[in-house]
Amino acid sequence: MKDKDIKNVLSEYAGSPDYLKKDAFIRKMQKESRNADVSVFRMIAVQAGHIRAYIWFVFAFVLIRPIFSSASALPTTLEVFTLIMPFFSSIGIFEAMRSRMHNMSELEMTTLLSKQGTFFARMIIIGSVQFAVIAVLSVVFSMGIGIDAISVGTGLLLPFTLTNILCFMIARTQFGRENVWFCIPVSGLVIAIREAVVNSSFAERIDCRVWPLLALALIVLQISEFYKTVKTERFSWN
Amino acid sequence: MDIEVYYDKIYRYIFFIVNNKALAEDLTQETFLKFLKAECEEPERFLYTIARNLCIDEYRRIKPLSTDDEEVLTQTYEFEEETVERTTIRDALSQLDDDDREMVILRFVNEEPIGEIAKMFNISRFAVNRKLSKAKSKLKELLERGSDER
Repeated sequence: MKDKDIKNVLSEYAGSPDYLKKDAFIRKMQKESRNADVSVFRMIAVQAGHIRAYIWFVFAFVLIRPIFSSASALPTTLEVFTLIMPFFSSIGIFEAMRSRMHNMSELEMTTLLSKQGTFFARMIIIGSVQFAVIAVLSVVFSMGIGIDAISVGTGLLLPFTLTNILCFMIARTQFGRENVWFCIPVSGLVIAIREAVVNSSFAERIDCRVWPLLALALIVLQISEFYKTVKTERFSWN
Repeated sequence: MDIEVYYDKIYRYIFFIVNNKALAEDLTQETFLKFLKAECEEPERFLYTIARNLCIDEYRRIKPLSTDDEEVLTQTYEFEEETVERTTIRDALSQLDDDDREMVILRFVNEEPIGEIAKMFNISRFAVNRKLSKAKSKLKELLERGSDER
């Protein structure tokens, strides 16, 4: 009797577990562990760790730069900041859709965290930080220049939210799914729109109270677009 | 951890201890339930430890019923009809020491590496090889004798 024969004899003697019982048990275990482990908080905490360092660096730079500007340079800094707001916005979309850029979507679909959950968590983290940065900037510029914080905030929010909305809309299309780089031309387009509006007589004729209301409406629309985009990331097996 | 990979291994390991398919399946599932409640760095070794402890608990649970283990097993569990060959294998395995039997199962049935078995039993790789070689020769002899008698 050879070693191989011993192995065969013993394996045949043990047989295999009941396939149906085994399958039902494994499915139940996987379902339970998934439900138990992946809370929204955990999902956000895990994804926060995956956001690349340069994103945090950009956020920190945008936040800190005005503090070190002299009072005379602040109006120019504010002008530059309203121009970079579309890029500040699209960088978040870019980071949240990183898996698409590297063709890693299929891999993400098979992990414990769903692709929808991953996208949701990343956008929540990045979006919250971005809004916090805009709020701080509004106060800093307001104190430095002497304009009210709502006007400064509106000036920063309008290009920011408009870029976000357009990016979300395009991200849901087939073109957007295949080309994450679309965020860059969208940012350029928003800058062009802003410049056109600011330099036209049309802007002067509008009541200044309309702009904060428009910013508020855009925020509501942005939330709605975010919800629609998150929904498209849902897969039946997740 | 991929349950599917370890499920069959743990089932076979338990089956050779309890000698009963239904009980082995129940204890296998219980092993995984216990395992998932705890966190550990070396899942395979931990699974075998849980499985072994559950078998010991099961043995203690049924032991007070009778002093004769064979009788207890026959009374407690509905054994599937065993062929003569199965009886020969079971008899041959029962004549090995508990540790030797466990090593044979881990090495020849579950194909665990010698290093892993050495860690489980807290002995050297050399000792595992020596014990396995001895147990294998004994098992071979018992199985061949059993088939000759048939």
